[in-house]
Amino acid sequence: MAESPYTYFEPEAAARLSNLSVVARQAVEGFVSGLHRSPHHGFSVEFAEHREYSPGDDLRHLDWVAYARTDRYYIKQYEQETNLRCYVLLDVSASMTYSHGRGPTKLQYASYLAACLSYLMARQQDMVGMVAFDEKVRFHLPPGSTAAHLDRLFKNLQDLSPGTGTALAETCHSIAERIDKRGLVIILTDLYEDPAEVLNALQHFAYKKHQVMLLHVLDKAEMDLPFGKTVSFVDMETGEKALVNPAAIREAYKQELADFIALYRRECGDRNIEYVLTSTDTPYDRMLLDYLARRKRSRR
Amino acid sequence: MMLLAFEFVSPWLLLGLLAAGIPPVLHLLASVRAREMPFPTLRFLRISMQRTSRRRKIQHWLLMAIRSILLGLLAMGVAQLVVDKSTAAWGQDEYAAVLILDNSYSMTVADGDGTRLGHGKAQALGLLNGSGKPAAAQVLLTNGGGLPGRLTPDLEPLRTRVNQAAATGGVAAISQRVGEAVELLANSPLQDKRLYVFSDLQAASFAELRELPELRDNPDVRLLMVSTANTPAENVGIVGLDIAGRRVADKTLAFTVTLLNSGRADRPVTATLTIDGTIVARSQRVTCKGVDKAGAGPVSVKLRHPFAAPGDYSGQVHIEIDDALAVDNQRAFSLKIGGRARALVISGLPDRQAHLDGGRVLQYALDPRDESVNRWSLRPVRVSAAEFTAADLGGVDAVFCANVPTFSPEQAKALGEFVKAGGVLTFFMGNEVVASDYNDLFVDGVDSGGLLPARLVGAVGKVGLRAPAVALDYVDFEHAYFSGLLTQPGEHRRILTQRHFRVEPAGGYPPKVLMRLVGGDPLLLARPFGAGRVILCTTTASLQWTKLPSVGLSLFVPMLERITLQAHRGQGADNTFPQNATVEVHVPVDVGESDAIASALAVTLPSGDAGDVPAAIRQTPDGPTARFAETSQLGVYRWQLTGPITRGDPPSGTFAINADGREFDLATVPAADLRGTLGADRCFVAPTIAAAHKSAAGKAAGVNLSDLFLIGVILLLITEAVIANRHRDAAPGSKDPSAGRMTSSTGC
Repeated sequence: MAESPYTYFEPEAAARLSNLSVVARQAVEGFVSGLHRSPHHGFSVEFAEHREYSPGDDLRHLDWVAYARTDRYYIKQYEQETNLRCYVLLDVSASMTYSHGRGPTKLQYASYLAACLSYLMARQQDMVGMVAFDEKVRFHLPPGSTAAHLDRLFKNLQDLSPGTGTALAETCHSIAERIDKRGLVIILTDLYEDPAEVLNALQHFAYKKHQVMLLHVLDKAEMDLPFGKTVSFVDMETGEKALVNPAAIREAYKQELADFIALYRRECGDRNIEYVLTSTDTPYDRMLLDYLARRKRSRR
Repeated sequence: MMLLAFEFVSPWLLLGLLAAGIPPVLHLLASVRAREMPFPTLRFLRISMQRTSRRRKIQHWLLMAIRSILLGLLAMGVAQLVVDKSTAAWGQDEYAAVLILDNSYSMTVADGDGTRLGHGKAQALGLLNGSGKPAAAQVLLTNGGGLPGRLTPDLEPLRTRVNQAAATGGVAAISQRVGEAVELLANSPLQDKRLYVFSDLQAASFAELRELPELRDNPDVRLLMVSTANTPAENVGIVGLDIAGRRVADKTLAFTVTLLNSGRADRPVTATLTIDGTIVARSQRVTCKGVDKAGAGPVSVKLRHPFAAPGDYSGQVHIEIDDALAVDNQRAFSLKIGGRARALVISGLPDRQAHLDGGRVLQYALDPRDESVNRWSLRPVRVSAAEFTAADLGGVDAVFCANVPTFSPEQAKALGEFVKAGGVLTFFMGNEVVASDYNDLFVDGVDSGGLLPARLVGAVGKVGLRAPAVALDYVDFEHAYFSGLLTQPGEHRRILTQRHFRVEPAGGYPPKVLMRLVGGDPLLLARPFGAGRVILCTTTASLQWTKLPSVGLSLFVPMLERITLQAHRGQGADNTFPQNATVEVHVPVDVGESDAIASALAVTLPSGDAGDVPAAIRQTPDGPTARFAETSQLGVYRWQLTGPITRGDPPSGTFAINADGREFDLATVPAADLRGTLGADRCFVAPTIAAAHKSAAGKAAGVNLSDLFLIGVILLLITEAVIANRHRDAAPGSKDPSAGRMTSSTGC
């Protein structure tokens, strides 16, 4: 099998998700069509409903048959699947470079997810763009769907170097302001920022009618704190230290993290934002398939 | 109210308490040396730490305290905390005690400024004088102590007895005294029964202690042994003196001295032999190896000395050495050397050729040396059979008859009387011997019947250059007449005999065959008769029938000498006795005067002082005998009859007193062996009475405090583990099998 020229794009995984596996294909189709059902009611092939004519409507869409039957003017509305604009926001702050043991860092994991999703979007003619950020935007690739665009996206991904602190809320606000057309915003982050500010920024996307999917990426060790001896932990973003006996605080830590996750899950739900928690010890393709299957069931 | 004092058996092990400081130190080190680990955010860690701060502090200090206490308990457990009953419970309970003080000579070994006996006495007096003294007690001495009647509450006589105890000879009778002590304690109404032994635990004394039935039958009696052998003794001692050889004039005696080194260092030793104050022999230097060295053990040296004239001789063997025990550096002896043994040769018809004349061959064989060059301890006299009378037997020890044709009844009777009185009669055959007369007189006769060991049947074999000869098939080399002779195997087979008398059993006590020819015919037979012995040689004493006197010269001559010397009734005896034995010596005095002379018996002690030795003279089958009852001093005692009742030279003599040689083997029984054998729960061994009490107190408390410590340690360990692992639900380092893989292998 030929090696991929891109670090974060694995053709095998993409194949599993698109071509080769029935399950994967089903999942991908569902994923794509499910993700970007267009909010625009256009005038295409698929009839959706009638509405009363109002001044200014295009007379080409006037339903003359309905006028003949009811003596009222109705405009025919069609539901049209359109090319979607998708923005992938990738957190490249220092905390995302964490990995305990042999597993991938959170940034690596998120990069794989971003690459895979971008490929799938482009494959069905949707446009995908990417924003990498830490305390500031590291690169901004506007949406596109061509092969050349994807190539540029993958290369940018693999050329990424870890940053320092996180400015998720600020970046979200900035991106929300820049995007004119409504679309899908996928955010890959560990959410280590003030939840109130982050939720406020996410609310900004919702306000702009964007569909938001928040992929919360954590390392297994962050979730379980499996360390034995007393350790001097060093904050990867601030450099601060704390002498901790992990065994003594493990329960409290896990409870605190669970509260944090629950907060996001609840608040995102309230804002119609899809919140997905994933751990780097779960293979990313499996994580996507599981998620989509879950989502498909919930949509029926 | 019972007061308990606590002490540690091994207080120096309390240094282990320093280990209690290890947990705080580790805590500090953990703070300083904690491994740094990058982590995405400290936010949740800090919140968690704040939330659990109080609980963690309590848990932290609790764990540190538990760990410190744990190590402290371990240290105290190892140091063996015991209830000290020597000053508390052991001193306040009423108890019965028997104190056995070892006063054998091994206890006189130098120990610091004093001796082991001094240490033992001090410990015993400490018990009798201390606050924890027994309610009833008795003191037994291992040597010469006798058995006091019962336990007594009056301790003053016991203290006096301990103070007056002096070392004396003989192996310490520990077993006997322990048996007596246990019987005394068994009769005591007190519940607490203790047997104290103050001894150096000498192996020779304690060997039998292990199997005493009295100890088995009285399990409530506790044994507390105070070992006085706290430092190894560097000592070489004479543990044995053996004097070999006939005690007759002109016979060289061999003095074999056995030396034993009880110390660790090799010691070169030279032994000297002193007789009547003059050194007469000195041994070569020998090395007595230390007990831990290869070749350790008893070493023997030999000293030789001939005694020219009969009489009483006394002296000692001595080793010049500076060691822990002086008393074992010499050993005394007293010998009575008899005059030359006398042999009578009765010869038959003389032969012109000397080598064919049995009488002359015997005479030469009995005195083969030139008088002017070598002195000989035998004096043979030869008479012809025709001239032999009973008078010739006066003062004779052994009679040899060579080719005597026959005997008159008087002669036969005289010979019978001679043998009955203890003489030895030897018959050699020859061509003149009339077998029927021999059988009539010495087998079937009235006065001397049964004298001959076997009935003569008739001579067999021919004599001549070409006549066949029979080899000697068997010699009883175990017998005293032949022991140590002809050391080459089969050497005796060269001794050929052409003619000999066949014999058949004569009835009565069967004779012992000392020599036998090939074919089974006896050549030499012997049988006791009365107090004496009769020997029958079935061939000639000359070379007429046998080569025994020529080829077998090295067998023939010593045999004749030994026959004579063993028959010698005038040879001296040893007057050497063990210490404290009652000594009896023959006093050549008219028995009618015995009562009067008892007070006239002067004794000079080994120390040179005029002795006050109780002596009595009484009549015995051996004649008047003096009994000396007090023989506690070691060395040579000299006695003499004094006063007007004696005629001529006053009778005098010597005897020597020695300690038991086993006493100078200072090897000791390991305390662990004693406790293992006698029971570790009832037998306690320590260098002092206080230490013995401490050992016993730990057991007497009924609960081993070390065990309690161990239980505490285990409980604390469990508690520590529970606390320390309370929140450790995830095993550090555990990983999901899929960790490290970016994609699933199956795709689903």
